[in-house]
Amino acid sequence: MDEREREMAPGDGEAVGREEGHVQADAHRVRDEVASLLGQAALGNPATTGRQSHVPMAEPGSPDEAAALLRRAAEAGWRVLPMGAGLAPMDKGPADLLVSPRRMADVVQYEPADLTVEVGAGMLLEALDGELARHRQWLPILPPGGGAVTLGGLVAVGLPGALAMAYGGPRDQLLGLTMADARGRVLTLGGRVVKNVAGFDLVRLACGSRGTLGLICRVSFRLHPRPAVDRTLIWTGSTGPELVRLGRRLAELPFPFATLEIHGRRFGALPELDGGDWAITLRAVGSDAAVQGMVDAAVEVAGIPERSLDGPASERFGLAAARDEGAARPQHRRRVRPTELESVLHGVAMAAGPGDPEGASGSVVADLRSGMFRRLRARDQGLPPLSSMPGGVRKVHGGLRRVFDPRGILPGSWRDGWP
Amino acid sequence: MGPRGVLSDPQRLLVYESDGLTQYRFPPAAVVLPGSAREVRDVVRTLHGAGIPFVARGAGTGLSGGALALDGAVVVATTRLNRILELDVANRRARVQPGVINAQLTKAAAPHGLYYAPDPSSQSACTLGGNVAENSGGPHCLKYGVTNRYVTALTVVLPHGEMVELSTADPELGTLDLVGLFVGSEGCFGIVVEIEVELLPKPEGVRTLLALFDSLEEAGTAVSTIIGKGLLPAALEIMDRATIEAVEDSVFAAGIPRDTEAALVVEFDGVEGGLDAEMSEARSVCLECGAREVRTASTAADRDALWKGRKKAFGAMGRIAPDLLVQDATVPRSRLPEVLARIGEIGRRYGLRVANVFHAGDGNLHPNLLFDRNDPDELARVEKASREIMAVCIAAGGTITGEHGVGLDKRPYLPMVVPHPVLEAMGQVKAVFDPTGRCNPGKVLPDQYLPGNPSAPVGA
Repeated sequence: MDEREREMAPGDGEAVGREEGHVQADAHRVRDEVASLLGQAALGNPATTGRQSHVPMAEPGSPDEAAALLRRAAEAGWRVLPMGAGLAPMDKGPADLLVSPRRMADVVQYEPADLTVEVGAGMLLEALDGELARHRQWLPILPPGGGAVTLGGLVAVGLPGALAMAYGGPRDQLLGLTMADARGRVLTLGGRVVKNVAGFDLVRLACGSRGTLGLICRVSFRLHPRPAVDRTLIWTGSTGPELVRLGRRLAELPFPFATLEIHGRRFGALPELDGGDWAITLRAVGSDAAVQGMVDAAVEVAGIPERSLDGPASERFGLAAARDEGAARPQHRRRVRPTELESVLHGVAMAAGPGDPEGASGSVVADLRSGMFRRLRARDQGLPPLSSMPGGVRKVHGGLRRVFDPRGILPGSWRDGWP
Repeated sequence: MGPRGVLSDPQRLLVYESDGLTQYRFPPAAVVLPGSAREVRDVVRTLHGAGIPFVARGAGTGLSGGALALDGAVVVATTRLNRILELDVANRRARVQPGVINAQLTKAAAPHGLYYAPDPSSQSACTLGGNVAENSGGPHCLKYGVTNRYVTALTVVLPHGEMVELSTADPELGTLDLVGLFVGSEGCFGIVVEIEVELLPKPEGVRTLLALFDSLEEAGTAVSTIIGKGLLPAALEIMDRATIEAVEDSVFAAGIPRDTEAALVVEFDGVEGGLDAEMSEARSVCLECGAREVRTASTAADRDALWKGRKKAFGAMGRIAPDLLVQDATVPRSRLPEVLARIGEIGRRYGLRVANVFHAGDGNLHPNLLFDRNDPDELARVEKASREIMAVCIAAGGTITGEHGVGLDKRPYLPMVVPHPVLEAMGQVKAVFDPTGRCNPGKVLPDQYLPGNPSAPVGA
């Protein structure tokens, strides 16, 4: 079993690498210490991670509290697992303490005229979206998990999401963040202005670091005007590779479609896709005239779509697809060249075949422009293993982890040969 | 390397003693001109073995002194690494060597309907390797973002001479976003030898508008109102009267009346069908905000005429003063009018000419302080005024550099915006790549945070 499969295997939580020799800290003692350090309010409900149940949960109320907690954890040698809404398949290795930004969920600063916002990392994306909608603005990021993810989790996971080809992913829209690291430091990185190159870009380093560098406590983003018109077109078909060719022709149009994806065999999760094993979804947002221009051009290339979803229906479909993707287990992602999608999907279609009535080969989604390819609920991964991290880069990773987590209490360290 | 690959004649080294920021001069110990990635690796390995500091240099158009050779460093110039290795039209990707000039990539991609989005004003000269080092922006990054959005992979030579490939964060592999960290690291983490970038399809249509105002404030209000209406132009650029006068006195004269206090360029691009409506809305906003004249353009030639003044502003300023300090700071957009007023006041107080030309949509200011370096008193006033301008921008919630980088010039200002623990972490990150501090020595971080310095914090 290679590392990737182990990561994605349900119930993973067996000793791996750094866990050898570690003695589980006494949960009562950990709870007592958290309470005496930060007060009873900072004790959340114990939670389950991997095969462990009743793992103490700490919910610091500020970046300073988070830093004090991580400093104490490093002294005591507790293994700490930062978590947001708990939706992402993060490292589920054994933990002595879970730490959540749930109590840091307020808008810290929102200046509509500047199109920027800073919020606590525990705020849910859907809560922020409600706030922004009142000012006809939005944060165009649609991560796996949809609106139910925390903004800190969205940044920590860093996946580009369905709108990334038009707007950039979290790494491109993130202006700054505040993180507590395992040295007990509060690191206020970046800022609230849209262009900022003052010093090394630790903001990009933290984005997508999956809790390995610290607990993200606050995040700030640039915003966009909320589009007046939102439309999703859906074409369905029975053969994947054929539909990919159609999708690639759409991808060659010089238009900034918000989303252009191909879905395969999503079996009932998204009723809008019924009508064939495969579907292309194209989302166009903007002014009335701009959306009409994009839709006309798309119809000229691909013909009349099976469905056209407008306004709230288009938005709901985008969220439902993202939610379904976030909930899928196991899930597996890789980026291929968009021109390789046809052969990759051909392989998936062959694997599925007629002898796969229950869909054991799972479903697929792929961004037709970026080549970001996801395999969901596939019991048989059916993909060649990824190459492992080369030595030079591995050393850089180890060094960077050590800058923020010298004692190795944060997750994932085993992956790159830590310590 | 052969005799063509190394320069050591003091006369020839003079070219490399300065960059776009001309008040600093540091002649390098030597200049090396490698012709391949492997040669860069071998050169760096040799220099590392000999304990000799080095600094990478592209076209030398940087505006913060980032490519200057301090501590007797050797310059590793990327001039000969100027090949586009692959133009993958179907996947909208290009792989280039670091010495490829920004505009050349767009030129090569143009026949295929593609272009490279970041467009710094120096794009006809600056290299993509330099753009990676500085995380360069440009007028169109208001809508399209800066360099780090478009770089998908890098091959770099680390300061000890190892060549590695860097990628963005990959959850499957558990990798960190080393591309994101490296872009904008100002040559302090190693030398880029190969860059993979994403190209964009040329927008279907473009519309440009030039609005002339009787006050800078009116132009600023027009910018806020355009954004407030939910419009997202590709660019929103302002020139003030001092800049307009310089342009109109030069060979780049764009036909803007010399008594205009502010000229605003607004550009929309995207789906042809939506552009006229956006344009007419922006036009109405400008007129409502007091524009005395609005010119519009839809053909490429007409657009170029409207952009001419803005794009040639820096060149034109050479006519009115022998030296120019291009400042660079970003403030929240809503604070622009008050910050501009303060900058004007600072200029008057120090008896200096300040010409403003800036990316108004991003709040990215470029106050240009005009002076004569042979006048030591004036030079001293420029430095004082510059520092005060930085303080005003920081007080308004801004930062000390939006796109030019810290380099040598902004080092003393960095602690004004970056708190101590973050400076300490930055120094530790630098030490991961460059524990001896010989890769672009003396840049970005104040000395006490740099590896190799006795008082530096304990590294990683």
